[in-house]
Amino acid sequence: MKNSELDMKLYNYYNKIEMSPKFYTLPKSIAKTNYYKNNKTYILKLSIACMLLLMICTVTFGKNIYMSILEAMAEVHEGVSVAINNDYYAEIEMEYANSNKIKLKVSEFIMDDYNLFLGFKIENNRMEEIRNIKFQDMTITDEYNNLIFCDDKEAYDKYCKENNMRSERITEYSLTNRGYGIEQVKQDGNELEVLYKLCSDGYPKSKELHIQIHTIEAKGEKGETLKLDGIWKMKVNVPKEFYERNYITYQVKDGSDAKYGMHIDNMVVTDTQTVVSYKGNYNIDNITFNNTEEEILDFIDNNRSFYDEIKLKNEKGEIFNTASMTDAFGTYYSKENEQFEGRLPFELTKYDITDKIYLIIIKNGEEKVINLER
Amino acid sequence: MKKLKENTDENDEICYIFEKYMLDMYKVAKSRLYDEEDVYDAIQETGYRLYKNMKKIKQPEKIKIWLLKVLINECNKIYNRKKKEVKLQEKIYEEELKNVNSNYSNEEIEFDFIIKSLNKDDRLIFSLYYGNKLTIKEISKIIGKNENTIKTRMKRAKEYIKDRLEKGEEKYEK
Repeated sequence: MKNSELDMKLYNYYNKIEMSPKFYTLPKSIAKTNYYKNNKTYILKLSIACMLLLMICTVTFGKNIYMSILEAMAEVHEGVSVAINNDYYAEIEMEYANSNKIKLKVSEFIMDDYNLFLGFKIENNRMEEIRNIKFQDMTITDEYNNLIFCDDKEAYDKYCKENNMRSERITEYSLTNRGYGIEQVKQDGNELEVLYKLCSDGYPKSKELHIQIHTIEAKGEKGETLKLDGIWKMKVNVPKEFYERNYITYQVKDGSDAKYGMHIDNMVVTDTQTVVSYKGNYNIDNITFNNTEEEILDFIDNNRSFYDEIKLKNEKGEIFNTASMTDAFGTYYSKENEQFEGRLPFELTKYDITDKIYLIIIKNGEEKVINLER
Repeated sequence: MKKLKENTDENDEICYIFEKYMLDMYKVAKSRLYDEEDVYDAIQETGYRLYKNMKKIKQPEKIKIWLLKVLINECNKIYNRKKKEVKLQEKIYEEELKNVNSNYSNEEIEFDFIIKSLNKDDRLIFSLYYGNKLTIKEISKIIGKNENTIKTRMKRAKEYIKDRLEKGEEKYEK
């Protein structure tokens, strides 16, 4: 079919769309009822109704409506969506790992310095239906035995023993949970799809990922918790575009790095997001460094001393907001350096960068800009 | 602000604008939300915002772009609120049933099903480009994605539609 023929089909398709009659009366009904005055009440009622409906449906069904693993990945934040739109993802060809009548394999994959997304396809050949899958003791290492992910100390010790590794060899990608999330993408009879979203402050450029699972936790037909034991071992050959990835670093060039006590160290832009690193000392009269670290951080959380709002802007005027935070990011107090340090993620990706990027900090209604250049 | 119609008060003017772009808004909202009630709510909310912000709109010739931006935000709010509701999937099937029971030809039903199987962003772009006859530049301003991204998405989605129509293949990188 020629492009022009398809274009004509599409134009005709959209031209034929008809509205039901109630839409034609909508403008007049809004004008007549002075709708906007009652809007707050309407929104409140609608919100309550939606919340109730959501609660009922979640409790009864507990099922997401993502169409695919890729759609679930794209929903993480806008940066990931842009990466997928620019083909920064891979479909993995591999055999199923089969144990205890459950087959597992990795089907979709994204990896950069900060994010690792693994989409799993699961085939359940057991008698009972299962849902809400979780890999209770999943361990992921690479070809150099770097620990990429492990949420369970016992599982890690066991892995080390089985692989003749010293269990003290914990790298920076280690047991400390940098944050991860699970999305149940599909639950259709005996076919399930699950997305694991893992985050780190710096994944290595691994060429192979070795995944090992011994226990799957799931919900049974009556909502009971099941623990299914087996041995599922998978090896993902990481596609070249991921281990040959690079990131782009921006620095403050014009000495404007310090605003509101926040000194910007640098900014790193990857395929899925940007991370701005900063440090600073709070100008806080009633807090001294005799307070505990927790008290200081509580104060920061409550007072948001560095900024009220923060965003990035490129030279085209496009705005990029902060991305969802995990334990890999945020502000912490460095005792060694006696200062606060932090890292903030943003939705800006390599696909939208310009030579200059502006960090806009808004505090008490005032806006200040830090200029970054690569 | 220059009046779009002579000898009308503000209420009539807003009503006129809303009526003028109602079908365009319907096409866009329908590309994002399957449920007619949700589409109605999204458009209704957009109408409220038009009332509230009419005086602030300084370039009336760009009012359609503004309306569509607001509408897309409203659609996204409703979509996100109902994201975990399994009944959304049932609504999709209900909509398909209406098609089957209508006077549409098999070819038209099939085409409609293919369009609905597109990723939500692609459906939105198509409704703005083909349904509202906007340029890529205008679409870029509305949805906040760069023009190259929009062109790439359109190209891939059209290849998918062609494959489905010609070979019945489902390979589609969503």
